[in-house]
Amino acid sequence: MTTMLTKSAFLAALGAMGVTFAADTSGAMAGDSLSCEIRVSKRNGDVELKGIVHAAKAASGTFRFKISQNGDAGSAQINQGGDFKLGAGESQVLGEATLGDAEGLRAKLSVTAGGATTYCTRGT
Amino acid sequence: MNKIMIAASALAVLISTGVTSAQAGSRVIVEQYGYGNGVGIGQKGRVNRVHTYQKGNWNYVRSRQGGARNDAVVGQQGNRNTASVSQGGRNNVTGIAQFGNGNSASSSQGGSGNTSAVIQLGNNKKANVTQEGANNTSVIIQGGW
Repeated sequence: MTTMLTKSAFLAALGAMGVTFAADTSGAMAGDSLSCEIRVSKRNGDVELKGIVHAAKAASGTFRFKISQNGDAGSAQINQGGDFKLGAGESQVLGEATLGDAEGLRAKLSVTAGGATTYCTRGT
Repeated sequence: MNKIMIAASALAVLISTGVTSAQAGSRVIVEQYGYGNGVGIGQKGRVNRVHTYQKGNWNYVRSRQGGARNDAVVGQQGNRNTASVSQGGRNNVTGIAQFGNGNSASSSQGGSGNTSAVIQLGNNKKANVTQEGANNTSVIIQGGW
């Protein structure tokens, strides 16, 4: 089962924020037992992204964290993947990436467990 | 300008790290100067380390490492720089710094404690990083002039 998430918050933010990194969509799945998040912060002028999974119940699975950027500075593609195993109430940072700026930046975190997949996206 | 200074400092650190490492095990250091520099490096198992530095135009580096505690450092200065680093499992670290026009960098890392850093300054920059495992961390800094 694949849970498709609303992108209304993300789309609404697009026009308002210009080159600033826009709001994300967050996903929940499998009876809301697993959710994901892409956390974005700025440090020393750079943009840091963290792909995070949250588990209400114990869960294990796999993830893909894809980041792409196309802007004046160049193009960048980052693909991260692997396994995770969480106890009830735990969270885990699955992948981290730092880029020089947020222009043309898109990120997607897909988390799969128990045959179900959820994803979160962020982008300008 | 500030980022250029940071990137230049990072390149110096990356290269000096490769030179001064006292860790025992496999190691390759290649430095090339001039026109049309190319190097291909293949390493298998254990404590692999690679260091290359190229200065000139048409620089090309391709490095492949097998498992264990791999490090790789690539510095390229000039135009039309291409670097490709592939690392198998364990404690991988990759650093690629490219200065000039026409930069292309690719980094692929297997499982365990992966870290990848790509710094590119100039025009026409492309960076591609693939990481598998639990400790994925990637940094890509691109700038132009």
